[in-house]
This record gives sequence, structure tokens and C-alpha cells, in this order.
Amino acid sequence: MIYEAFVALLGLMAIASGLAIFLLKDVLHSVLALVALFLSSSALLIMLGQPLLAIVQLFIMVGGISTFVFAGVASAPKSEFAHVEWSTLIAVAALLFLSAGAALMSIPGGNGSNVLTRFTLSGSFNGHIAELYVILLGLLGVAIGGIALLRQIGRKGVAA
Amino acid sequence: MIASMDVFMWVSFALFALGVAGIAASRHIIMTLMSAEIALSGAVVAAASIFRFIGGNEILPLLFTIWAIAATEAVAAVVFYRYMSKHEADFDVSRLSKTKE
Repeated sequence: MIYEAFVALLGLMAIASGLAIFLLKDVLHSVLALVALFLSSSALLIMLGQPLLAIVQLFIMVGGISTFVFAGVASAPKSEFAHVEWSTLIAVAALLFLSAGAALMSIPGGNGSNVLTRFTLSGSFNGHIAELYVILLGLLGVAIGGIALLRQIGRKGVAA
Repeated sequence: MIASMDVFMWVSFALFALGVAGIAASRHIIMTLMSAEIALSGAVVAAASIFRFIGGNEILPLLFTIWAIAATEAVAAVVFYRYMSKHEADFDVSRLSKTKE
């Protein structure tokens, strides 16, 4: 019971951090809220009994992505327009959460299970490791190219 | 002792719904990026909980793919942001007009 309560608390912290991203007016503060979201999801991975995944999540998402985005928007001016249309945000989020979540969790699967607990993985990723590595190498190339482009912009700009 | 799967799945659904809604509703280009990161975080939690409670040992390739996608789009979005700020472009995506020659 106490473990479920703690997981629920961490989940609420993650959702609150996600909402804070849209509520905060300064983009830099929103990035800090994003860091809090990644920390909460890392803690959720620990509660799932996956400490290695939690550490990797910290390294990649907090140490890598968040630092990069923080440095990238550090010089951002204060924007003069609202960052998000709240009516659209609430409507789409409610529609997705209630329809997808409730539908998936409520479809009976026999013996008290639902459609998610009936789901079984018949294949494995072992046969597709090569394709995954190709995809990852391509994504790495995009990332390196983006950083090189950023350096070029910083050095001498791009001709209009 | 591990909490039941339902709590993790509801949290992941909420994060994913918030992320997708943010992509649809955001007007600032960086907000769109961070909404995608929220959705991907929800996907990571959902994948980890499914593999933990249902089974399977091949979680790492899937999670590394998700993390690689998140990192790559963060790099691309920040590059676009820096380019736009250097050329004093408007960050309000609702005001984007035709690309000038």
C-alpha cells in the first residue's frame, strides 16, 4: 500500500512538472520543469525495480538533453505571446487520456485481467538488433550534423 | 515489493496525453519540443512497466531507440531555435508565413 502511494506521489510529481512546463512564462524555467519531469520518471523506473534504466535515464535525459536545451535557450528573450492555447491543451489531453487509457484498461480479458495484462510478446528484438543499430547510427549522424551546424551558425552565421 | 502495473500505466497515459496535447496546443517552438519530450517520457515509463510486469528481456534496444529519438529532436529543435533567433524570426508558430525566397 505504501509503495503504491509512493508511486502515485511520484506520478503526480511527474504530471505536475509537465503542467508546470506550460504554466511558466519564461522558457528557461520551463526547461527546469522538464528536468524535474525527467527526475520523476527516473524515480519511477527505480520503483519498477530497474535501477540501471534509471541511471541511464539520468545520464541521457538530464545530463545530455536537458543540459543541451538549457544552454541552447539560455539567451532566450522573454516571449510576448502565450506559449500554449489552454483550451486546445485541456481538450486534447482529456480526450486522449480518457479514451485511450480508459478503453485499454477497461476491456475485459478474462480472470480479472485487462487487455494490457493479456498482451504477450511473441517475438523478440534479438532478430532485429542490426536494424536497430542502423537506426541508432542514423540518428547519431543527425545529432552530430546538428551540432556541427550549430557551431557554424555561432561562428560566422548562415547567409540569408 | 513492487506496486501494481495499473498505477504506472495511468501515469504513462497521463504523460503521453499531456505531451501530445502540448504538441497540438503549443505556440512556441521550444514548447513543442518539450511536449514531445513529455510524450517520450511517458512512453519510456509504459515500456518499462510492460516489460517488468508482463515479461520480455529486450527492453534496452527499445528504450535506447526512444532516448536516441528524444536526443536527436532536442538537438534539431535547438539548432532551429538558434538559427531563428539569429535571424530575429518570430517564435510564435501560429504566425509562420510562407518561406521567403
